[in-house]
Amino acid sequence: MIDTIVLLVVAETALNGIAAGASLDQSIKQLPARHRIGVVAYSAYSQASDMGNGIFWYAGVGVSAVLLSLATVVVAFVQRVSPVHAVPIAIVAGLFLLHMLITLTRAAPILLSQRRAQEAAKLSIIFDRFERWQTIRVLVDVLIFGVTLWALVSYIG
Amino acid sequence: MSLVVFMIALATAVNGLLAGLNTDTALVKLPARRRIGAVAYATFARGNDLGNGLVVYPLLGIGAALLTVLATAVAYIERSPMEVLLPLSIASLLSILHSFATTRAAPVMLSIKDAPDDEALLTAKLDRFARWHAIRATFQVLTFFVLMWALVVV
Repeated sequence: MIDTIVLLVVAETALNGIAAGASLDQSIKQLPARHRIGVVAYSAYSQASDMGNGIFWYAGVGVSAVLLSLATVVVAFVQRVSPVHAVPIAIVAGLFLLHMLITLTRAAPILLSQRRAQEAAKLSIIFDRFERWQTIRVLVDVLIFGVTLWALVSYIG
Repeated sequence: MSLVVFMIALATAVNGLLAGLNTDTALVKLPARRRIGAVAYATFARGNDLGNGLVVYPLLGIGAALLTVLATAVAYIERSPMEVLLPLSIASLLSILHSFATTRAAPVMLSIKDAPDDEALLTAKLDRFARWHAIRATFQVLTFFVLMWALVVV
């Protein structure tokens, strides 16, 4: 019989892996494409994807991941799990706070501001600024996935 | 940490990232072609899939499949119990199926590089790519989930 906390960590690992992969794609493939195709063409794509299905998909995955992380912390606290398991679970929750802060106050508003920009020069500044915050975000995303995997491995044996 | 646990964890990490990449392409990137049109999407794909994608996809795709097969081989060599060998064998099979679907999807995307900016032609090519990509994304997400199953029972 699998414990509730293990189930929660498995679900977290699944969701955080998918989120980290999507974030990595944004950083190492999508954003660099603007240098090849031009920033105006890239903005047209970005508005159709990031602000199309992306709004529902990223928000859905993001909110679910944060809720799962909170639920895992609560269950870990109630079950009084040992520090071997509690440390990675707590680190993931802390990293999510940092991720939310960056996304809600920096990355998302910068990306959304492209709607008001028309000229290439303005769009270049917007995407350069977004790229800087996205670089920090992807590092946090991959770190979250890695630490979640560490939490899962801590239950082996 | 034993070698087999380390190998499964590593395979899970790389397969998880690839699953995220594939899911993002299937659910966010490719549907954008219906909003901006096939020609505009093909322009983006030439800078993305046919830009850094030419390095990222083979590296992650081949790496993930190799790590999965390697983890399975190590588990067989170390005579791991059947409850571990079963998910690992399924994950290896799914990795092979993902690679097969990629051999169908990749040539379609590569053909977009020099294709003329013809809306009808590019729509047909992108629709074909989207179908094969949906299949390989499904195999990839399943590989990731089955590897987590192996990690839980190891």
